[in-house]
Amino acid sequence: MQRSTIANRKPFWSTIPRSLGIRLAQIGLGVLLLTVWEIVALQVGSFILAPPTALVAAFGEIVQSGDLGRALVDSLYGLAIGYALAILLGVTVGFLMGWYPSLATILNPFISALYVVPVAALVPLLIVWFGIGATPRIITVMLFAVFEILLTTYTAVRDIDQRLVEMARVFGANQRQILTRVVIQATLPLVGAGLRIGAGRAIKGMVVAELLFAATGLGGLVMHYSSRFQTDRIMVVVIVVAMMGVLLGWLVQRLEYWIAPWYHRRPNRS
Amino acid sequence: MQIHNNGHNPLVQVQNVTKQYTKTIGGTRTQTVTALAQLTLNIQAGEFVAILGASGCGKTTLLRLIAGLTMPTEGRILIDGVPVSGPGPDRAVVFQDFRLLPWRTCLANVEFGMELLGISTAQRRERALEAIALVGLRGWETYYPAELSGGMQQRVGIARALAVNPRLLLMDEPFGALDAITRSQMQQELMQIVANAAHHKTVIFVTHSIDEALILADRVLVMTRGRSLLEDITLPFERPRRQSELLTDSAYIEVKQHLLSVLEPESTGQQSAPQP
Repeated sequence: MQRSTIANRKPFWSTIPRSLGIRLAQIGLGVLLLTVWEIVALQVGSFILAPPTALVAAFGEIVQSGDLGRALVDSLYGLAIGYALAILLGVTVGFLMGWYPSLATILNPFISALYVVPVAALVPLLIVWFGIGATPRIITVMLFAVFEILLTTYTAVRDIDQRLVEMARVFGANQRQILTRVVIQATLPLVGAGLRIGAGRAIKGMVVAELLFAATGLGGLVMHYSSRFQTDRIMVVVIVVAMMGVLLGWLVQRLEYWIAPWYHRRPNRS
Repeated sequence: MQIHNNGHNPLVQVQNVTKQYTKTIGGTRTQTVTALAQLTLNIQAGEFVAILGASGCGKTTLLRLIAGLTMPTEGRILIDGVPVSGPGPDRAVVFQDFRLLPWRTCLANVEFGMELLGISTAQRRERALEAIALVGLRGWETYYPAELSGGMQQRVGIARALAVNPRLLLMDEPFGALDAITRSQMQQELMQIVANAAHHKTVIFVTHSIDEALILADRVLVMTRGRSLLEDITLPFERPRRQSELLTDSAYIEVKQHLLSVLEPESTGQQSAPQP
């Protein structure tokens, strides 16, 4: 009896619920990074690297002045429209390519070509075509995000589980029913993954566009502060952008849970 | 559609059917494979027919042809005197790998076939619950397939097929992916289900297990690679039957010995080399 109690003795952290443990580990890692950052910043001086404690003050300042609020509204406008267009275009074209293999064969070289073009290199052209208003920023965001969404959607539809399609045929499904009752649902999890990758790319596209086109939004703030050598404020904006990434990723994940709950309810995972 | 069956014609007529398909080897070379050669057989309404054979003998191909998932290279297949041109509501398939839609609950999976037939929501629900009760899954309606065991998933597969009320139930090694204990239990239950189903079902059951064929079927068709139909044995036992009673039956032992000897060259002899 006694032996078994010894064998069953577990480390103290096993009494903490798993989800809480993960959260604590996350917070711990964050605190560790901040501490290291603070120490390094004190060594090299706050101009080269502003310490986290100074950033809190800088954050307060730019919120107070309204700079950050205005920039966020500008940025989110371009991001939302550009990302929405990327989803619309990427999912539609990706689906059509997956559903009609000959269309995929026709489009594939064009998509490969566009995919490798660095979007930043298109900036001069976009300025010539669309000026320096919101339009080129929206298009840049769209171009940054669209290919990941398109390619994951295309792959998901192309590689659909043919056994399920055959099952549907046995029970009398026509092509339209196979599409609406099997293919769309089956591809949702992968399309969701594409949207998540696309979201990160869209944010990068947003900042790149703001840096390259006109001094607006968060990218504009970075330019503004760098011209005044306010490195602490630059750092704050960079962190805000990173937080946007976390937030958008989380939102898309919630969306995935909502549209494909069955995929996340599998009990045999982990 | 004209009904030709007046009680004398077989429900399923396979007439001189040859099925060849092109297979790609190593991604480059292609080869024509003959899965079925000049096969002729009839199945009467109400029969439970087991198609027995080693893998590669064309038994699944035959089932797919009857299901209308693929067309014969030569010859034709008639259901009720009408040539098969594709899948139809008179036939339903139970697959070895279940093929449930993972995003649908047990209930919604069972309703799937009826949805495609355009049956009203209320009637669909009623018939689905009936079929779920018949396969012993009452209480599991709201579970997703991933939350069910293999045996339970296949019960859903059987309920889905029964719910469309087909004349012909096509089962492609339905218990092949299950463990031995579940498998034996499912065999007993399938016998009960078929006996209790609203209409007397005609079942074509593909298997590579001699015991399974003998426990379930009225008639065993033995197929071998190349020669297609080798034996056509009508079993002398009543249905439904108990496995424990069967095991000591002298007729059962005799048929089993015969089938073992018939299938032996295939199982112990050298694997027939692929023809170039």
